[in-house]
Amino acid sequence: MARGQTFSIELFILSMSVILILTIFLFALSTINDFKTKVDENDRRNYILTEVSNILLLSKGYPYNWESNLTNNSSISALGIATRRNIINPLKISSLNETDYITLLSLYYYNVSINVTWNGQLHFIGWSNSTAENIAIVRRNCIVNNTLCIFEIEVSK
Amino acid sequence: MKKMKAKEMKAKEMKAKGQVSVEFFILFVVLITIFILFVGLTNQFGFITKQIIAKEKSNYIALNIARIVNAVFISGNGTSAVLSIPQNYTINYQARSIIVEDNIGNIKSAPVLINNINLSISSGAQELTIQNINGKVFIGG
Repeated sequence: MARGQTFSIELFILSMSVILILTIFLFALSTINDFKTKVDENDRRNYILTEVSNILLLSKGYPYNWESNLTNNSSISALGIATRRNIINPLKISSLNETDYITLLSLYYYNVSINVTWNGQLHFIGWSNSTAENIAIVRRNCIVNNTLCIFEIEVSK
Repeated sequence: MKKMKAKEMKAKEMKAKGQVSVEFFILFVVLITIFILFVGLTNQFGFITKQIIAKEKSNYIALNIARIVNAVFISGNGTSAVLSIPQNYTINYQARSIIVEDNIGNIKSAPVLINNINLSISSGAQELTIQNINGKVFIGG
């Protein structure tokens, strides 16, 4: 009986240790997975943030005069509000709100707001979700009508 | 009397031995089960890790191509970039997204911010040339 008791206790301790190790193993696996998903989401958001600010501020869009043909959004291949790098065409800013910029800038799944401020005037495009978490913002200097302006883009999910 | 006692002792000893054998068998079965479980879990963990790495690679390639396509467009007419891609990846363009598929079926996509893309890549190509010609982006390889 003494031998039997020793075996039972050892078996119990062994089983508990194995269960503990397995639990830690599975917990670690799910934590790594969650972390990875979060990192991926942040990477995507940051990609959208930098690329959208780049294409808007540094390019004219395509066709170059897209703002003069807003009735046909499908003819717009790319959006850009610059006349030259970092120099903004004010007409293109006001036209941006009249386009399907969500599709044109691949902004599905994101809340995006774009603010352009110059001479104390704020031009707002998009919408802001005040309850959103994980917001990323990029602020860049630009020029409109020979005046310094601030271009700000906010992306959240 | 002595013979009887000796017989009883022998019977007890045999019973104890039998108990030990049963316990040893149970312990052995439990250990084998644990071992099989561990091997299974390790395999599963290895498989998941491989999947994650493969998806990450496809994701990296897709984002890299998309970034370069955007940059080539922004840089204007005449800009050209050459990009190496690993073997066994298929690149496609669909609905404003660069889609990358590896040979085990992992698909990842990255949005591009332009629509005027012309893609013509031969299978097995390991080098992509991305060019901006009059505002249109051509991806070849």
